[in-house]
Amino acid sequence: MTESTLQVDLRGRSLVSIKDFTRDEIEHVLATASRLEGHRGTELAGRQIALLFYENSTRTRNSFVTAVHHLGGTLCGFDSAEGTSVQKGETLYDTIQMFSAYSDAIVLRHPRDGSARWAADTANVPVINAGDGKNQHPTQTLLDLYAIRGTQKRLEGLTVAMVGDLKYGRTVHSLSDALAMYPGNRLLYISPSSLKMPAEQLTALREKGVELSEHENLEEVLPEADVVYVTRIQRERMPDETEYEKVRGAFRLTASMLRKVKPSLRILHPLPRVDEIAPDVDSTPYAFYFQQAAGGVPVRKALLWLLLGIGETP
Amino acid sequence: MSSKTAERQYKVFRIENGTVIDHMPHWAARQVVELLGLAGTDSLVTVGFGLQSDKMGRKDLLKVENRELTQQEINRIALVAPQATINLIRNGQTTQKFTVELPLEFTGLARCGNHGCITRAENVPTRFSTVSREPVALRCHYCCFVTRGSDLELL
Repeated sequence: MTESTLQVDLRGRSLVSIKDFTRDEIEHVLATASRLEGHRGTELAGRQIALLFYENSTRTRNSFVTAVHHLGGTLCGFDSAEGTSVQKGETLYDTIQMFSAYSDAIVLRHPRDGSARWAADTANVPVINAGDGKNQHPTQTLLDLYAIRGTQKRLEGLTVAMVGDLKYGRTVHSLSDALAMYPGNRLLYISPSSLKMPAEQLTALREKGVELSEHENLEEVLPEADVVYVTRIQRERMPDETEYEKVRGAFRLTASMLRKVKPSLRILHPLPRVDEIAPDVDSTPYAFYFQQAAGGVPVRKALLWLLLGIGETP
Repeated sequence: MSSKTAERQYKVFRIENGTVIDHMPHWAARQVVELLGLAGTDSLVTVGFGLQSDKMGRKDLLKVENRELTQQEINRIALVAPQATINLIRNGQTTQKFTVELPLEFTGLARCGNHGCITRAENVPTRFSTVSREPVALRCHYCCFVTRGSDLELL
């Protein structure tokens, strides 16, 4: 542990946006996650975590469930709004007040943008945002950073190519903000012209001194990249079926495109994947998306550990 | 407008006690009348639409007798007329003159422009930080969406 991370204390804090954490705090979470890999214990015995999932989620919810089990805690909550008091018209505010009383921390996924901030402002236990509409998904960003640090041994001086739906892809926006906290990162954005990064965010990143460029050809940027972060282009985002088919082919990563890449290149994807990464990439040494998703468990264990103030890690 | 004409016009509508709101964009006075709830009140209200202005080209001006504005009302004016100047008149004298200035952070006043925002679905008071005073751009505290002047819906 570095001297700076020794001073980090996240007890009682909420995580709504990755920007809520400083670089030192992010480092502290990642270092803690690394120490909790494979850890099974009873540190959360007697403590309850509320998982309030107003929308279905496979990976995020199950990795939180696994994280709580690994630390010996109990769970309450729901995994969809169906059949709960929410369906009877209970407000988010009321639900949050109730679960603040039942639990030691709340993990919230909600279809409305900004719902997690509202919950964190009004709850009296830490709130972890597990996705609020199309806004933020900070625990995904932490596990993305964890995968990058794990494979590249650093989070600075990297060339990171982000591919796909950069306009609506919240994971790309948050990861860009996080990488901008570290010096010397180059961000390459590859997308169809209709799904480019929002101009406002590009301006904000440039103002932070990030070197960035936009491209429409995936193959030509691959040799430079240390990390390729692929995202799914959703059919409903494209103006018509013809355009979707065209774009789907142009931004699809296949094993044959990886002939001239750096040996240390790693390919990440927030999952679920549809067909933007061909199955033949899975068996190359560059594929890292399944290990990346597995990192969600230690990262979420680390968050619970730190926000609930468990103390020294084993 | 020459200073002589300006003086004459000012005298015609001179008020003893109240507030003069000057330097509003052309046609903004209509909105200000509405947001201050002046229509249908007993106050003597004088409105000047499209007056000549060296600084603004055309401007609107509003005089309201026997009415002093609250800070919240001044903030609301700043949303539709970011350059407006407020003159407080007491006993026929201007006792205070200042330009409106939207606070860096505030609650209420406007709706978030993001229809997916939690403030649109539940009874959550809106809360903003000011990204730009002119043109007005407000960042929602909850969903981070930036609402700009022309899309702004006042509360």
